[in-house]
Amino acid sequence: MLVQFNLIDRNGSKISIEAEEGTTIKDAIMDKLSPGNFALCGGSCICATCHVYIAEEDINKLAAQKDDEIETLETNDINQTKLSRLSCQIELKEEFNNITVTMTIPRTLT
Amino acid sequence: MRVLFYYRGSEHIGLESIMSYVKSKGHLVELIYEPALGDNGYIDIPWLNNFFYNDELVINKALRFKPDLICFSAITNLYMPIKKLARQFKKLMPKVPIICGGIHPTSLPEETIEEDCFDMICLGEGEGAMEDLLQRMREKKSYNDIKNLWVKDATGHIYKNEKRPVIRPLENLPNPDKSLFAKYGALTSRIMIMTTRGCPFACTFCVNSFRNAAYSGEVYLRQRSVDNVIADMVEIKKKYNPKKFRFEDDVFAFNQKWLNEFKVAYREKINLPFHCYVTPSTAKDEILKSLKEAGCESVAMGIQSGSEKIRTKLLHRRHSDELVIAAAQRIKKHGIKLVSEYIFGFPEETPEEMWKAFELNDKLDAYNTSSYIFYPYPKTALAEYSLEHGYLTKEDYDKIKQGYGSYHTSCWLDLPYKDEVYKFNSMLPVWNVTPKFLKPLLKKILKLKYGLIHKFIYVLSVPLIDFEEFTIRIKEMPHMIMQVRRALTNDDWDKSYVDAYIPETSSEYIKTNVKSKDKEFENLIPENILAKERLEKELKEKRKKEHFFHGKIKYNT
Repeated sequence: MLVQFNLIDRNGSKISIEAEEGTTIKDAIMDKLSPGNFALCGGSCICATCHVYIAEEDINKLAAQKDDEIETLETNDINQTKLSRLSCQIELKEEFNNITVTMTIPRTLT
Repeated sequence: MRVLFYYRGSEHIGLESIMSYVKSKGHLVELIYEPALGDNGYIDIPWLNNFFYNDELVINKALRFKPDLICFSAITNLYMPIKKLARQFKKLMPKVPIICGGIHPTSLPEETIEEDCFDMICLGEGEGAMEDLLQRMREKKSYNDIKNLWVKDATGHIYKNEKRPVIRPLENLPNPDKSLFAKYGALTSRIMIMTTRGCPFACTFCVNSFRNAAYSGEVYLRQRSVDNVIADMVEIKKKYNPKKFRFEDDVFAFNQKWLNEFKVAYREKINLPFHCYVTPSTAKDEILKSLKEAGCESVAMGIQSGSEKIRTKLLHRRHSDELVIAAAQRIKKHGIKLVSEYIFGFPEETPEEMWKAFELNDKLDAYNTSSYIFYPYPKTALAEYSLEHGYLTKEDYDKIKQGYGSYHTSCWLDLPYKDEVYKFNSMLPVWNVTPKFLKPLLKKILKLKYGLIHKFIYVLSVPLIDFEEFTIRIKEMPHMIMQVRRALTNDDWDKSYVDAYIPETSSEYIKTNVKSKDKEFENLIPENILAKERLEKELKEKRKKEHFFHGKIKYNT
């Protein structure tokens, strides 16, 4: 079964993505966009480069974060908010249809 | 085809992998290896090498082998001697194409391909590119369109070919072949192995800060399967009888599922103590427990800076002091020895921030501590930042691009506290093993103006950077020296080798445009260029004198 979600990419454009139920949001983004510096650990929950923000109205649809995800969000160089999630840890389910996910921009040295 | 590889320094797993792959395609492979005991980054006294071997032995071996292709692998710090030797090879064997691969040409392709001694450079992984190149050479066909290669043709035109996808899965490759390094005595009793390619992190001082970005849409980090790694290690154990293993992966233990499988297989089939790398954020309880169960004896953990601000703002490592201390405590709790690692001399770093490394390290109870000086590796985010913000001059950056200096001895940044960098770098490893009652004395020495005493302490600190490795190398050095001489004079390659490939007739064979740098050529160089070269040479001499252990050692400077 296909699940559809809305993705706001790094340029701010809104894209609709469909992927099989059970696919992680990280894999769905990789398939569709192949972004650079994204999901560097391949989904092992350590690098936080697949960090995304989930829309406020959708965040409660997701299961709570496990300890690993919390720790990785806290110990990597990202702008963490209460809407922060690692897309490698979220498998798409029917109830996630039409949620909105925003990609983050990797920090650069300025 | 007859393929000659060259490497200097220590055993190189990447090269072992390429040599193994090239062999598996039916080519005759030989290695020239120099241990570079006199110029290895810690010291720069090249003539010391002459006690053990000399350029003549190296060059004669290459001439006797009669290669069809010569391959160099270069990291930035080894680039100068490699370039020098490549020029000699080009002069003596002008028709033999020379290729240079490794992280240096990958970072600086434009600069490297311009060198008169290189006909081609390889960017990124070399296995596929080498296979295609050698096949085209066999067939006497043009090789100017091979992916991952930049090729200079007869007119001087450079073909900048696109990159190929990363090799996946890594099990498609044969196991790295250690035999050629082994005959030079380069394998110690603590043998190196790698299970991954790439790193999941992009710390700003590291090449991964630009390499990951260069592979958009692909996950550069890959890990060999447990079965593949264990099968390789079983062979290594049988063949070389090591006492220990040393996993050289940037971050070894990051995948708990992989580790669960690994610890059982490793215990059952290898069961030797090993060393590996962790980070403060990956040194989690479960991972450390699995490492210990597998047989892990020690881990190295990069702290990099004692200052939380530097770690977060400049290095992109959001590791709080609490996190670092907690990780060290967990490592100790699981009975694993900790080697903590630091770098001094980052942009904006003050002596107070450098001192924080000493304070933080005291809380870690590290078995060994190693320290380094920030070396702005070309193209890394922090090197570019240093240049943009005036910490690094363009002239110095150009020198670094040529491979001057090392992360042990050279502070390249224009910092107001340069002497402090040298002092803190030399004293931290010693500080770590100094009894508490003597630390006030060391603190007083640290406050003195940089001078002889600190240089003496630096000498003492060298073994402490990795005491076990140092002991092993010293113990095994006489054997290695003998082996190097023997390997350079023994022509033990397969004399009956005949390339099984039957060539088709073709006129597409590419001609190289590389000129040997002989006297006649030098006479054609205009005076202004010669004057510039002379000035550069003078500046180089000046720089050598300014840096500790570069050239003649003057303790009273």
